[in-house]
Amino acid sequence: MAGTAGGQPRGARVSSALLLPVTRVRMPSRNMRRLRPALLLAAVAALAGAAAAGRAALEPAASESGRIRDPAWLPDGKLLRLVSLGQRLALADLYWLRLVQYVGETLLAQQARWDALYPLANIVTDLDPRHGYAYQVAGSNLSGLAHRYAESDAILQKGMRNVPDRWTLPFYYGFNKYFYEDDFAEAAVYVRRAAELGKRPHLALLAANLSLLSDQGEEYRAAIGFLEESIRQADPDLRAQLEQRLVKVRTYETLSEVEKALAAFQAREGRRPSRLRELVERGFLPAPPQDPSGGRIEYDPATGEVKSSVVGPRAPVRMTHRESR
Amino acid sequence: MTRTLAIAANTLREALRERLMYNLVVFALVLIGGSLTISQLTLGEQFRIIANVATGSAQLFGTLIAVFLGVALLSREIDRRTCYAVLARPVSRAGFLVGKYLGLLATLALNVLVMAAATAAMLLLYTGSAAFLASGFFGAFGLMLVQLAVCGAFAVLFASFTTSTLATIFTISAVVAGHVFSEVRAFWLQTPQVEMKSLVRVLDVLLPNMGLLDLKDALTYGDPVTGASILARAAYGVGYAGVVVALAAFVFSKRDLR
Repeated sequence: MAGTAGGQPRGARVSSALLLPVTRVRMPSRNMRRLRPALLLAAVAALAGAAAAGRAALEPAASESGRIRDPAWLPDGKLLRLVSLGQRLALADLYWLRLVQYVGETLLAQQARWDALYPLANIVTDLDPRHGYAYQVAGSNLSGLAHRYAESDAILQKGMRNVPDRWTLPFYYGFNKYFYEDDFAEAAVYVRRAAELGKRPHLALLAANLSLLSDQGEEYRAAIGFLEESIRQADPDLRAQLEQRLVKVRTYETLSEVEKALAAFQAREGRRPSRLRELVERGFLPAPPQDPSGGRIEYDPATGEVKSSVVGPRAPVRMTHRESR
Repeated sequence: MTRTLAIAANTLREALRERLMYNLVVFALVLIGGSLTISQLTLGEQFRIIANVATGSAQLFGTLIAVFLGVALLSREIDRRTCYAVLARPVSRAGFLVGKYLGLLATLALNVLVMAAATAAMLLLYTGSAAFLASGFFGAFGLMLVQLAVCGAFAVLFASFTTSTLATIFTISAVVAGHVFSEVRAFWLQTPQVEMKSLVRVLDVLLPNMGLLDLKDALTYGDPVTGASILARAAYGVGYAGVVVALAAFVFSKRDLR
């Protein structure tokens, strides 16, 4: 189809739809033709202005975008792993960076909630179960900053299952048990594990202290066995300290046995014994107690106090979260 | 054989003129270079972020190159009918296809080499020592090439019998299935249902286990990797890709090219 209608050049193909209905096209005036570029420019400027104004109004939303809010909704780490298409390590790092930012932002927040810390740590460690540092940082912050001890224990336990050779994980778990949960026997078990894993005999000192706090027969025996093993591995300086601690543990174990015998005596007889030999005579102790620290075991019938003439009374150093506040 | 190698050399020259490939390589290099900056956002563990972002980018963009270039190199020859001129000579269709695949493989090897060099430069810049080269670096990038060879084999297979759009979709689906299967395999094997175990056995044959061709962990964690392990993984990948290319050659030789 060719024609000259509507100013079309001859030979140009024109759709029949454009020819119907037939209308007169008014040519713009000269003034209008002059104004057209200015009008177009004004329209573009108006659009740019609207976009800039809208963007400025959306600045708070843009700053919030991607920020993890409390309470948190986060995807499931196992599901993310399935769809990671071989990029699970890079994805784990992405969530790790979000965890680091989240801790920083929450520390600066007016009302810190920490709801997202445990889910974030779970995502990171589901994607990369060997990310030992993530367990460590999440575990220590969940207890130390967020005071979410159950979640801290859970992430550290997961870490100990997945990265069994990282000594800091049982160490932090033991610290939780000692400092926040008053479970000294459990704390001693995990600090001993940390000392063994990390080849750090000086942690045996801490483990021994925790055993003293727990005041349980099997804990004293565990601490003694562990200290003896650590002494064999330690350098001379540390060995001297460990030997001193071993003497203290043995002395405390003896004092603890005597204290328990005294309590049993008093419960049955309704009075305190006049001297320690009476405990042996009445069958509360198998033999007169010997002081492992080289002194003698002293007993005050007036107060019921038992102590070593060298080490003193059984009084382990105790500083937990509750007592430190 | 000589003709097949000549086709491979020509395919490499053709691939090196592809703008798409250069775009993807530049993206990968920018990300690998950027890994050093990204690592500054974290608290400790910078090495793993550089290693993971760099190897992840190399793998992602390498896969895209393998898929798009693999499909394009064969589809274009068929669509433009330029393959007729080659096939009119004493070259079998299988030889033609294998030549195209070998050319693609050479291109992928060059890409992996460039990305490995960029990653090594970033890690060297951060650590100041080349110790990371001793633990899993060459194994990780070597197996990445094998992984890309499997992707390229699927691209050639699908391009040998369907349109370029469908071939791209099918290839990406096969690669995704290979990655997802390597993740779900262990879960399925743990389920008490016997049918799932049978399904896993079947999929073990049908799908490429991309997880077995992935040693990025070894570089991140400095794991010692034995030569025997790398050899076994490479044998699996090369064998798998070879079977797929053989299937592609068979399909292509039976295709009606009119």
